[in-house]
Amino acid sequence: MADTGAVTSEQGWEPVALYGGQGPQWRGVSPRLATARSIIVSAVCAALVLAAVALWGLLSSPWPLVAAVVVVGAWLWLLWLVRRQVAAISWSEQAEELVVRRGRLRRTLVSVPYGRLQLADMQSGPLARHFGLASVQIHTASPHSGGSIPGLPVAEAEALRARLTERGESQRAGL
Amino acid sequence: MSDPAPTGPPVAEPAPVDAARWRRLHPLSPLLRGGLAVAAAGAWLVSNQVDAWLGADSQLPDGRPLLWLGLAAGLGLLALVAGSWLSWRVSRFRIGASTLEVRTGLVLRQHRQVRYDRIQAVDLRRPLLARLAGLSEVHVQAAGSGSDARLAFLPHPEATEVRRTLMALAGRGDERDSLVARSRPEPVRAAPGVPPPAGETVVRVPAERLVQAWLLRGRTLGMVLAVPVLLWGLATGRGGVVAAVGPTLLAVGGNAAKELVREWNFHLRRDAAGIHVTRGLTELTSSSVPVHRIQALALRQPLPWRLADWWRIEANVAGVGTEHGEDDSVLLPVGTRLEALATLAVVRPSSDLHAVLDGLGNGLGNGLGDGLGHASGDGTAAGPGSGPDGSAGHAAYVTVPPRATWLSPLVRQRHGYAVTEGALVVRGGRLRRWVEVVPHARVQSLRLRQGPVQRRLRLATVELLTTSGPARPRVCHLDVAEATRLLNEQVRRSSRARERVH
Repeated sequence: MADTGAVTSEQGWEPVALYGGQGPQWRGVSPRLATARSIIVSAVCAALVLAAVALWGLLSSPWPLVAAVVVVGAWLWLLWLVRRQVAAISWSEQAEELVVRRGRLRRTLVSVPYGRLQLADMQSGPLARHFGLASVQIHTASPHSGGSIPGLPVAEAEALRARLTERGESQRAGL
Repeated sequence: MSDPAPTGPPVAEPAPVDAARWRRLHPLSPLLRGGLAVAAAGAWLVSNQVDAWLGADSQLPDGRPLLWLGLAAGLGLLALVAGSWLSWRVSRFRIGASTLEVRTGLVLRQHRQVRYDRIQAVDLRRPLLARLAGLSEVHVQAAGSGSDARLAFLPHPEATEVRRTLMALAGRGDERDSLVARSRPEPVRAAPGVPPPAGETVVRVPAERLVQAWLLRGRTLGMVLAVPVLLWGLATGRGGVVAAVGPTLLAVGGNAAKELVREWNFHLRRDAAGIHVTRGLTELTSSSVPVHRIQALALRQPLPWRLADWWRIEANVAGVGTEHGEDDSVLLPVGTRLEALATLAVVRPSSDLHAVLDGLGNGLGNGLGDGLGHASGDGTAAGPGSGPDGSAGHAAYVTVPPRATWLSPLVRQRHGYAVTEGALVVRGGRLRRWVEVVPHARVQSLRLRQGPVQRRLRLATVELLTTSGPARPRVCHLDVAEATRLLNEQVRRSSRARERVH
């Protein structure tokens, strides 16, 4: 089953950590995810700016213009943030578990053993489909404990989902 | 008790297996399920009206309305009895080859099947009226919401027998046929009124301790303080005060009272099928939880309880978690240290009690070594017992580094985790102490978190996720290297443990 760069040897597992480990086992997500998210952010911000400008024209008070400037500032910051966040997502298929890391300011690392996997499904919204992206969601018996990997190219997501399901079946443990 | 109802006449359908026999509920069931309330309400209404009409102001001509009223009441009663009888006639259940089947409903027919391998727990409930009539309800909780089955009501001995059969079937799917065959010819009512062989008592909570513990809670203090405020508000006519304090007091007091009523007569037993809890003041409930469904345990001690060294134990039970409320998760409402350890030993025999005991810290005026000797039989490893305070001798515990004081000034010294053979033990809480135990094999997934402040201090939080419930074990503010090590090692430990279990 190991057709990827996943670490499969028993002794050779490499400890996962919050930092570093840019080695072959860690994979990022597609940069197109940043583009897709930027589009959403831009749509919302542009609407806000337009509304503020329209209001300025109607009221002839300077405050809507101030609001518009603030929104533009937030817009730029969000665009920067989205890139950073997307770049911070990485995942790795270890010998016995799937590990997903996200976040830069608030870092999170989730480790889900294959044996605990109840369900792995794939999702793809209209925008994500346009960019050829999909997200893989992982569910365990605990409602809080799943994870998700957004922004995978569809083929890769498909393959990952299949691999996860297969490993889940072979390593499946009861509750 | 009225006639022994369960052996109803065989129904028209052919019974494929002898075991798959349709049984009926007790004939009084429909009445007890709600008909009685309707009848009582009707009688009350009628009697009120009659009083009014026969009173001093009799504007109505006597005789006629009374006659009509009597007729109507008689008809209503007749309809009620007939409806109950019909409802009883069409309600049947059978313990089939692989499912429990329940048929109910005259107009809206319902046929519910519960597969034995989906059964999570089988409870016995006895509301007050049913208890007076010697009846019980069997409540079968199945995996998946909305798929519970209720058999209300059966004569108590039969209900006990049905529950035992179902428990056994739920435990071992492969032996079901032989089990059904074996359990059926068993004389059901060998000794009416005598409780069935109950297994070994683990803990029985005396009423006076329950009341004391109930009083020794922070919220009692709050209520004691709130009552004068409320009275003052009432006396001086300050509506705002009353509106603010009154409902809160009612809600808190109501909850507290409910808890007391629910946990009255608490009795924990165990036998081969699992552990059994019997509790309740008005409604007597016996529930059984197969031990293997327990995912994690939480021991808690509200601050005043430290005076008496009492502990409360709750469990995350798979499938029970959220939808059935928290009352099903209590394994010990209040118990001494010894009882808490005895409960732990029953629930999770493999886990190392020394580490847990160490995590409990020191009670006031209660020797640790004493408890250890009684609880686990061998006093050999009683090392931690000698410490003068809770912080001594926790060699097994990995604690939080001193710089975490910036983030949690109080908790730091107690907070930490210990790895035992079967489980991970996390302890914490400076004022409200707690200990949580997660068997390695039950960890669903692990999470490592680090916020900006933690990052500056080189700290990280490890969460161990199990099914939902009162225990949500996490170790906060560990050194990053330590946290990473815990995560990586725990993944291996859990996977080894799972392989052993299955």
